[in-house]
Amino acid sequence: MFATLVGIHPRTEELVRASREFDRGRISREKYEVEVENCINRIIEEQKKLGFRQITDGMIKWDDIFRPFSKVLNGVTAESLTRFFDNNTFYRKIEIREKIEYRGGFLSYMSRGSEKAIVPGLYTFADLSHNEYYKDKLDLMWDYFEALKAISLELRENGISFLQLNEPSIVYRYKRREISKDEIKLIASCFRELRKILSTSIHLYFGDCSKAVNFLAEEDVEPIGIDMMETEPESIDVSAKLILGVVDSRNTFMEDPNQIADMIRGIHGEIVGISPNCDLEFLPYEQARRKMEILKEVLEVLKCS
Amino acid sequence: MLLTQEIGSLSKPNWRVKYVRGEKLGKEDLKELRRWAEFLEIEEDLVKKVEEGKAEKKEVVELSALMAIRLLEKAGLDIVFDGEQFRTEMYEYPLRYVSGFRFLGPVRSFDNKYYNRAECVDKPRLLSPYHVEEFLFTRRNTKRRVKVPITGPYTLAEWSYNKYYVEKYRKLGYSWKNLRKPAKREFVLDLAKEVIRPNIAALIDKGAEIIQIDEPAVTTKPDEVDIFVEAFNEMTSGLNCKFSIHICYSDYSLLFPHIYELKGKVQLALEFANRGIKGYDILSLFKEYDGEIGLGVVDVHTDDVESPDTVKERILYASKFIPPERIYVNPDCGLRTRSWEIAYRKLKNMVKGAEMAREELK
Repeated sequence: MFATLVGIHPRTEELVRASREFDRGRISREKYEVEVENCINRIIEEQKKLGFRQITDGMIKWDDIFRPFSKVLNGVTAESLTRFFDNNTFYRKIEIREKIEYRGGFLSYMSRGSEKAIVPGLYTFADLSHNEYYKDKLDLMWDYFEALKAISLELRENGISFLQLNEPSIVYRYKRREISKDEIKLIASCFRELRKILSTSIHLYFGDCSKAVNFLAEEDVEPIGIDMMETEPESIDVSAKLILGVVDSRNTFMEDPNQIADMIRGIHGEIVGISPNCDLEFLPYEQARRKMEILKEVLEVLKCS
Repeated sequence: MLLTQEIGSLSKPNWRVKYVRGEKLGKEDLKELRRWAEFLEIEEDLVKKVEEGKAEKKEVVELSALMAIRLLEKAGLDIVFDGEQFRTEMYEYPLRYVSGFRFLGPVRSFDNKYYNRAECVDKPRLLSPYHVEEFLFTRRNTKRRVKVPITGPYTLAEWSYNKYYVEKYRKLGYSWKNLRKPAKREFVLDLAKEVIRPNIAALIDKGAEIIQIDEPAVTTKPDEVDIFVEAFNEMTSGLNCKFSIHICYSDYSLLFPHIYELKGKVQLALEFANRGIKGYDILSLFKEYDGEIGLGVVDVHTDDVESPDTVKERILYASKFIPPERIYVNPDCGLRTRSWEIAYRKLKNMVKGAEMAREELK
């Protein structure tokens, strides 16, 4: 069992200060970029020190999970500020006005030392965009998948081994029974295609994942990341590989590693990893670091038992 | 009918920000100060004191507040405040007067914008009421009606980490999934009772007649809207004052049916202009709501100044859904993101547009 990060990491206070200074024209771009590099190096070092796997660069160059796609895809732009689910965090909604095609450049959003790319999954991308081009949502998802396939090939050529598809909308919509069988089939078949290129996982969060885990597992989608802050442990009973989001990225309450270990032991499923339940960027940097330490402590407790 | 009001903040002029920070004012800052002081007919001795660097910081804050009041008056608003010139912003400023919170550091709101987020580590207690001084200042300096904006308990809770109550409910044996709502409810209600209600009572005691509770976060978690309503009733029951609630950039349909439980005829001051004319269609949901509607007719996120005709059209369109007797006219939100120049022009046209609508509806 390993520990891994699953989303955007908070920026260090030094980088936050530097970005403010840069915005006000008080420091040069070069100076700002040095601070960006320092922050990325620190996040990578901390993961290595704690024995994390599937190292990420904290997605420090990403303003939100969609923004790079407004630059690397044809047919889309980043527009109005929109609330990201039930958080006091906002993203710029992707506006789709033409056919989506990958035009290159994704690697500029990845840093040296990254082993995993984290991107919006097909369903979440389609769900949270404003589509003015596609008549059928399935066509939109398919073209985005084609772009992800091209990106995955580029990543593989550049030594990146892991791809994680973040799919909060699957959980959010399934709760409201708004996801169709065809959409589930498409998500699964595309996932299996991407898995042929990179070691791929799907991460579910911001809602009770128990039902979505079942239908994805039935379609041979695995490993599946689960938000355990929103899902009752006893509701999970699948044979798929699981990565459990066991520390809360949206609260500063520091979990007890022993209690988490007990909870993990009681879950029916093949648990291959643990993680925060979602992006740690909802916490300040120091609290995020402490949550990472808790994950390491959970692994130690489990090893000893 | 169609009384005009502001929602809260105006931007802080550079000369005010720099002076308070202890920085030297540049030529442009002094020019800006002089230009607005003349336009708003501010007493010369006050301005001179700042220009000569002889004013206390408090006097500079008061001068910018006085100028904000005069700006709103000159634009013609019926109901005014001081542009929140005494406050830094709407989250950190109030919590500095409350025990039980610890600030942890910057958390991203969007892009490169961060706010200093606090965690609740103990039951919140009010250290001292924090809006009385600015209310009294505004009261002394205007003959218009005054409305005081206060950040509401739900928003303060939602923008903070709920460590204290989560810990409590974990000890009580609640699962992660089941503790969120009761832990939040207790947090919000404690803020309402222990922090916001005493603030409101202190303001009423000093003569406040209109209080606006700012709750921009209220629909963030759709299953918690009932908590906000319960908290509002808790903190206002038995207090003699006109209340308004400001909500913006939210899905207003989520307020239903909960807002029918609000006690008293509470005004809802809402943002609409940002959504375009069709954005007012959601007012059809409010037909059965018997409180007033504060109608956002001016977009605070663009420098494009709405013409009086546009404002009039928006009001007339909205009056198809809500009787004009129940409509107040306001910007979508505080105008702090605009320059004073733009804010003034927008407000002046808003007042003119309201006048034109009033004529047409006679």
